[in-house]
Amino acid sequence: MGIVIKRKPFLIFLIILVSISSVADAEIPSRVEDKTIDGYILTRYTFRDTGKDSDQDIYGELRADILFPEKDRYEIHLLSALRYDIDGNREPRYYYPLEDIGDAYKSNPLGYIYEAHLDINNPFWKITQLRIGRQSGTGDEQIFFDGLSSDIKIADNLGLTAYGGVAAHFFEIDAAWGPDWLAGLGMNYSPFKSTNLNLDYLYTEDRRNIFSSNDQQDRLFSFKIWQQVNPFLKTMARLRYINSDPRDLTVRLVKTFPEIQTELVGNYFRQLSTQKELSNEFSSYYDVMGESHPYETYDLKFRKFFGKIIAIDLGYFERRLIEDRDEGPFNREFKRLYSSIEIDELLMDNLTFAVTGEKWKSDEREFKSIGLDIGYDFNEGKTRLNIGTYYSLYKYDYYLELGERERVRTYYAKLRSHLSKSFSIDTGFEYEDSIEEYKIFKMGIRYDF
Amino acid sequence: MTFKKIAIAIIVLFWAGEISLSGEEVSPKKIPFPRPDSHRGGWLELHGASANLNLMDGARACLVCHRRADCIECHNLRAPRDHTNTWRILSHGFMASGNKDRCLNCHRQDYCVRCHNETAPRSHRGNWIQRHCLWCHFESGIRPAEGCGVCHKIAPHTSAPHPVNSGLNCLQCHK
Repeated sequence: MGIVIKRKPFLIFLIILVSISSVADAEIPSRVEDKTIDGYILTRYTFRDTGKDSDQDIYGELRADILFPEKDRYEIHLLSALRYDIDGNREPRYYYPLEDIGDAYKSNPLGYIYEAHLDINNPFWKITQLRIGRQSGTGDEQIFFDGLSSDIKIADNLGLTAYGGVAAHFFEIDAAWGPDWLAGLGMNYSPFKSTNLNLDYLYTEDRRNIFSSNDQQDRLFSFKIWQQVNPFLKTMARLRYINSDPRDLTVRLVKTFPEIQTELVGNYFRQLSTQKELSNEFSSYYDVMGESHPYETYDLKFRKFFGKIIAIDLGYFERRLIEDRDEGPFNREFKRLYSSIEIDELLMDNLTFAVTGEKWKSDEREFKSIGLDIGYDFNEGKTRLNIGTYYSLYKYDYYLELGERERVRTYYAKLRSHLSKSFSIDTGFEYEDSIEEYKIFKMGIRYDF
Repeated sequence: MTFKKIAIAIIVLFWAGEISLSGEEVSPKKIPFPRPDSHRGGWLELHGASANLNLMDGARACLVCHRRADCIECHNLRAPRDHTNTWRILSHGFMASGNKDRCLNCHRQDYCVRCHNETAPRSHRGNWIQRHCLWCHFESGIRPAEGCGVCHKIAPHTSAPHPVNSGLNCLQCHK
């Protein structure tokens, strides 16, 4: 079977593609009396080529949200992904220009389950929802775990969320060393209609080696307040502690000026203490980049619409170190400026024209990019064609790489067509001219149900 | 595998009726009303702050159209446009060195460690084994260069009793 796959991968992909489309056309009922099923199944074939090397992969995704609206008692949610490397080089010791995270495992194919949980609504007492299974967290940090969580409505303006289970780390190398754990408790309280207070506590236990002598056990405390000053001004402030040390402070506001179709977003962030080794959920990449020293960032975004035709975005971001001496290879001060302009129906109906640009500058490094995209809807909006190009320039100017430049030019064409009520197909071709010449062809089929 | 075969395959699919541009009985929009004006232009840059503020008070403006799994789906399964092949093998380190906060929107530490532990960088090709001495140690004495330390946490020869410079023939002793 393996030989067949290596020799005829694209043929197999075609068979899968045609099979799925046949099933799609068979009019599977998406609504079955007392339940609704929403979701999609996707299969995508990717072919990458550098001239000397090539790689073929097949990706799959399945998402399903199953609801039972009649009694509204149960829900089932599933999100999963699969990838199969048909012919890649999986030798880890030497460089292979097409290797990626999928080649970093001994097993092939690879599967990821992001969500697979049963929800029970209003099971008893004041619990409004009980979730059982693989699920993600909705607090401050992106977490996945296998376990239980529940929402508890104490009063109309007071709610609790409690959760816990075995942490899911999708890429961890030491998964066989034993389970990691996490548990958390959140509280939402709205003293007034336009004010919301939130307290979050998250405990994680991350086994870091087989002898368990350096296991990480961390506790994150988060205090948040949201305040809607008026319908057009919303603010938020958040202070977090990690293991009783202050971790970071965030202040954010969004102000809209509807009469002039303008929006302003401001964000201030300050890391308050040096972050060393922490659990996977909280780590700022200590294992790769080392300690993260205190810094602050200012982020301003400005949006302006001119009717239905033009949308302009301007953004400025600045990162400053609290102590200059903390600057290092993975801890830099920099400024970033970006802009995008989108013009709809510039020369003809259904034609969209977008330009984006970005400049990123630190003392020793610089990055510039500019991109152009032209999109056209035809066939009554059921088919969309995008063509464009993207250019990036990286300047490395510190001692070992004095004067090094990397230029990346990408040209692409994408076509997405809705072929039936819930059946769509995506095709795309990219040409990337950089340290290698990459040619990438993608073809995917998706069935929404 | 050639592009000619791919082109033939597309033609076959057209011929088999699996691809049609006629678009009969097509309803591409799953959500039964147009997307908001705010989602135009550089919305992808902006949506994080906006989503955070709109989730307050259970108002959940986003959840009128989106489910929570939409966040997970996009942040785990869809790569941004700048995540090119060059990004994958070279420039992501450049950007992460200044703006790892952006990486944290989607990636946890295990993602970095997995790839850096199990795949080799661009420098590790050809006669790399012979070349790596000076690459790692030049101008930094017995301390490994910063790039090496990203993957190689344990360097058994860091206690070498001499500084390293370009005048040395490493292979004379280190074979």
